[in-house]
Amino acid sequence: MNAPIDHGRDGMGQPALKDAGTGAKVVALPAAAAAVVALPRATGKSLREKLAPLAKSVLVTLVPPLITVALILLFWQIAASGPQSSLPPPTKIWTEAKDLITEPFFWAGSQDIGLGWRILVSLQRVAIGFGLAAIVGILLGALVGQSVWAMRGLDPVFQVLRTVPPLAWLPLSLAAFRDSQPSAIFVIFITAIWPVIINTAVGIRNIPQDYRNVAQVLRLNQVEFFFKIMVPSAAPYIFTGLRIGVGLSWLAIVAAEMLTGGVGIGFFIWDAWNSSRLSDIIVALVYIGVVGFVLDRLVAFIGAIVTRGTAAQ
Amino acid sequence: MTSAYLKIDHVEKTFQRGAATTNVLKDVSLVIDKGEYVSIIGHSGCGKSTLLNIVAGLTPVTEGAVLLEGKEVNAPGPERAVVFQNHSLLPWLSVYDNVALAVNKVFGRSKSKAERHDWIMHNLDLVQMAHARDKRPGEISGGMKQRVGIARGLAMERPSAGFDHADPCGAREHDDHDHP
Repeated sequence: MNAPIDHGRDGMGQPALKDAGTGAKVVALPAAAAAVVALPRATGKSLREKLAPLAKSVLVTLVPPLITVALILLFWQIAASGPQSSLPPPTKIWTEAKDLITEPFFWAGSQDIGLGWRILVSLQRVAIGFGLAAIVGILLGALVGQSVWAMRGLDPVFQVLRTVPPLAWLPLSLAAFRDSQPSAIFVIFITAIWPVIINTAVGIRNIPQDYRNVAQVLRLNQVEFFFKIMVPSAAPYIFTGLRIGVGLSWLAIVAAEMLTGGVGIGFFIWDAWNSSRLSDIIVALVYIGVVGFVLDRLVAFIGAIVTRGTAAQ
Repeated sequence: MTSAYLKIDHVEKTFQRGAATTNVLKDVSLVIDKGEYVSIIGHSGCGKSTLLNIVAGLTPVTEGAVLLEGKEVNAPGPERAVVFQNHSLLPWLSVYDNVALAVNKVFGRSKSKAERHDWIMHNLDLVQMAHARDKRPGEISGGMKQRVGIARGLAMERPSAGFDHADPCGAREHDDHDHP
């Protein structure tokens, strides 16, 4: 098999070069003997040298937000220190709500518990509601993305329903479930499902024809196609939907818990408002913000692991 | 003539988009026997890929028929392995898993796990890509991807016929020099 190819190259390449040799000079490049250059090993670096760039990157990422927070606190302190101020300054929050800040996991009776426990209760509801939304959303999204008729039939309904605010579902779900716990979970579910459906459908509509051809040639059946081509190929889109969904569910749970009561962080805020503990509310807001940020980063992190290699063509 | 392995019989293909129709193939007939090696050569846009897609079963004919061992081809199948023009490797699978997906689907019942592994490695060896078995398509060059595509195509066939859609001027570009 090699012979004809080589022959072809000789036939085409060599004479042309020979002709060129008459007019122009053929310069033979000196064949340099290849030398193996040993690269210095990196282990010689001391621990200090290795830590220096790490410390620098931590400094660069941490110092600017710390300065911002310090400035906000300073401004807040000045603005809220006046005698007519209706909101507490940071120093007052620290003295009033020190136990909530420093001990997130204390337990002193059924309603007097640390904010960490309350967050965990809310997170549990989000986990169930968002987990269901992820499963149902990906399946429905796959249906809408794969079938033109499912899209024509379902997409207009989804587009209308997704604009309904989360709390508008609460009275209906309370009537249907007759219990606050499943109602709160349903509100999470119905809030988080739309971005998952829509993004999954877009991801599946964007599966390159090449991958569909591969599946057709291999005669993959529907189930194999779903797990081996559809889900991995649409994974970046699916995770975008999941990330939006988890953010929305965290928004919805706080509002839903304010109305349904119970143990969660949302009810804590409502309870604190009713007993005029403004400092507690502000601490709870910080907790909610930090946890929401962590949730978002967690889904993004899982997405980055799952879709590793997909982005590179 | 009835014993022909693959028969392309008066195939015609017209693409239609709105009011515009493009006649790509007209009255194409070709008979290929088992073991024959056929190259279809032509300038770009002349319908080579369309003809191969029809044989692969990915594109339906407008008129005429393709017969494989006397049976009409109207759907894709692993007995007509295709090496796609733009390699079509799945980027989330390693080189090994890309070939394994095909091998496990085609030989999942007829071969044991060890036999399938040997067959995958044999085909990767044929295209000299066994060293990159754990690499992902994004981590290897265009020519290497094409070689893995060829290995996948070769691995699908039950050593009989295969259709090579490798286009040296397309996805493989000028990569031939690094092949032996």
